Amino acid sequence: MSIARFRKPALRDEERYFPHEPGVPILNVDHLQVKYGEIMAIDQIFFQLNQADRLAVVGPNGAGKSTLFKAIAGLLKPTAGSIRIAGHEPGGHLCISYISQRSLVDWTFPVRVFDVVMMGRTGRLGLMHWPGKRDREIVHHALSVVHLVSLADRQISQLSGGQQQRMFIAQALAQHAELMLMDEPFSGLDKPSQEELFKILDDLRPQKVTVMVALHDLKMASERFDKALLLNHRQLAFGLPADVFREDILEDAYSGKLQIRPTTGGTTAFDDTCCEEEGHPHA
Amino acid sequence: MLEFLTAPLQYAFMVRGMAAAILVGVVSAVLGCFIILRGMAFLGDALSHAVLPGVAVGYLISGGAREPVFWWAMLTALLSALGIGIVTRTSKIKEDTAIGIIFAGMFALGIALISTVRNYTADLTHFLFGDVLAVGTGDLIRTAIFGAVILLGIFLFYKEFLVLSFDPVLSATLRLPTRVLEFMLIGLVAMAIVVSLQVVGVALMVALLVTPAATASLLSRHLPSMMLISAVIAAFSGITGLYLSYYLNIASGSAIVLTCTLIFVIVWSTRTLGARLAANRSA
Repeated sequence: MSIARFRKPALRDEERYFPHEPGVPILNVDHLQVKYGEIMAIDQIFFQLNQADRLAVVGPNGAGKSTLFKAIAGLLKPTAGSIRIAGHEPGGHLCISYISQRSLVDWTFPVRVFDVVMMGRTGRLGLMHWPGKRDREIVHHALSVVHLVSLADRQISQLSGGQQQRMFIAQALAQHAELMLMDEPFSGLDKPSQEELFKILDDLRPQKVTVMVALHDLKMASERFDKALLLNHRQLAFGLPADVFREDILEDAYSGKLQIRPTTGGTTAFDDTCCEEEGHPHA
Repeated sequence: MLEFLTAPLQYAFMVRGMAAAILVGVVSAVLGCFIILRGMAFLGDALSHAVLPGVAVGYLISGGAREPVFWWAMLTALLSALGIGIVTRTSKIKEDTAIGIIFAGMFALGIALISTVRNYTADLTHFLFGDVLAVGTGDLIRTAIFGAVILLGIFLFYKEFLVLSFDPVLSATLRLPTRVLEFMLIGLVAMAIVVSLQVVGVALMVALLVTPAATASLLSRHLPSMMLISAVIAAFSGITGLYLSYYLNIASGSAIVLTCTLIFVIVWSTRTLGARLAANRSA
């Protein structure tokens, strides 16, 4: 039984949202600047991502990583420069998902895993349309991709940190997100959970999902990502991890707050692995 | 025993009062679930106080007729909600401060208006604490119609309200009309306050909005069942409160609210105690 039957069918996504232009990079950031009032959050950011790229965004606490993500998701308006998602402004896109830091989520909220993943369908369904069989199949499939089918009926507080992160990836998949912005997904996860997350990200590659991840672990950023962006309000470096994580550039980014230790494989740097970021409220 | 239960029901005013208490309780309790999940309890309390000048104007110009009071209260509630939104958006003033300013100002205006009438104390008491036993057939019909509108609103926009309450950032990236939805929810709260005015009055209104919902949140981890439990508690409190009022000769509004509160205390203490015992046993 659905109210939708009495209304005209929902517009197809292509009719409601910007089409993706072929042959254009999925993300093009050009001389981006975002200010909060008089305070400069990020400035002079310019880089491009192609489909299925996996980018690590690295920088000290308060460097503007979350601001950059929110601007790309279309939640903040740039004060200068531009962001193009497949050739269009972010605001008209439904293909971007922003996965907040886990610490910002209300885990006592009375919803089950299935409900949270179904939320990803909300934008596609349109007002006053109820989820149907196809939506439930999409949610089920998304849950199977992240290996959470057996936990679908659990209340969300009963999940482990890694499972919580995977639940949000399933939500992004249910939304058919093509650009996933993940804010510190690895913080607070143990090694096996981190590996499981990487395995899922690997599985998403053939589906041309582009992933941007904010993280603190420079070793992980240099070993497990295609590209890296080093940020401290300004863009300090962008490119292949090997070119970005050079000692002189890192010194510049962290102004000596970084421990750089010689290891057998060369140099390994450890960031201050604190999870607090920026202090902008989650709104 | 049976006579104990049926005796009050020989009076038509008791039957009407009970119907009104159940209707209003159920509507407020269901809507209240979103209020406690979104942390809007203070706004609910403020809005219910802010309708007082509307009530006073309706009362003064009509010489005591019900219907104008209802419409003036509705107008004032919506204007106050709008005022709070405008002050918050257009200045540095934080939302709870704006709520405080408008709530106290409007409440003072209401008292000032009512104090121009000679038997001021009696009338003020009536508006502050409600008088469910004075509910007429016209009141009951209006309550039923607006109650149905509120429940329909919650039903139609359930999935959007759910996303908005769980994560406003998700609501924005799913391109939902966040501002419109927020105002709709506040509009529904304003409506619920006005229809409940006669049952508990402006001073105790917030109890109907938050206490049953908060009790249900301790008992359920799934929003639809939480709404159902909340509604059952509110209906039960409405009935029990009126019996208490009849036999113990206490004010009906306060009897209803006290029943709600007592149920909360019982559930809360058994839950906390139960958790303590379980922890001790496993330790």
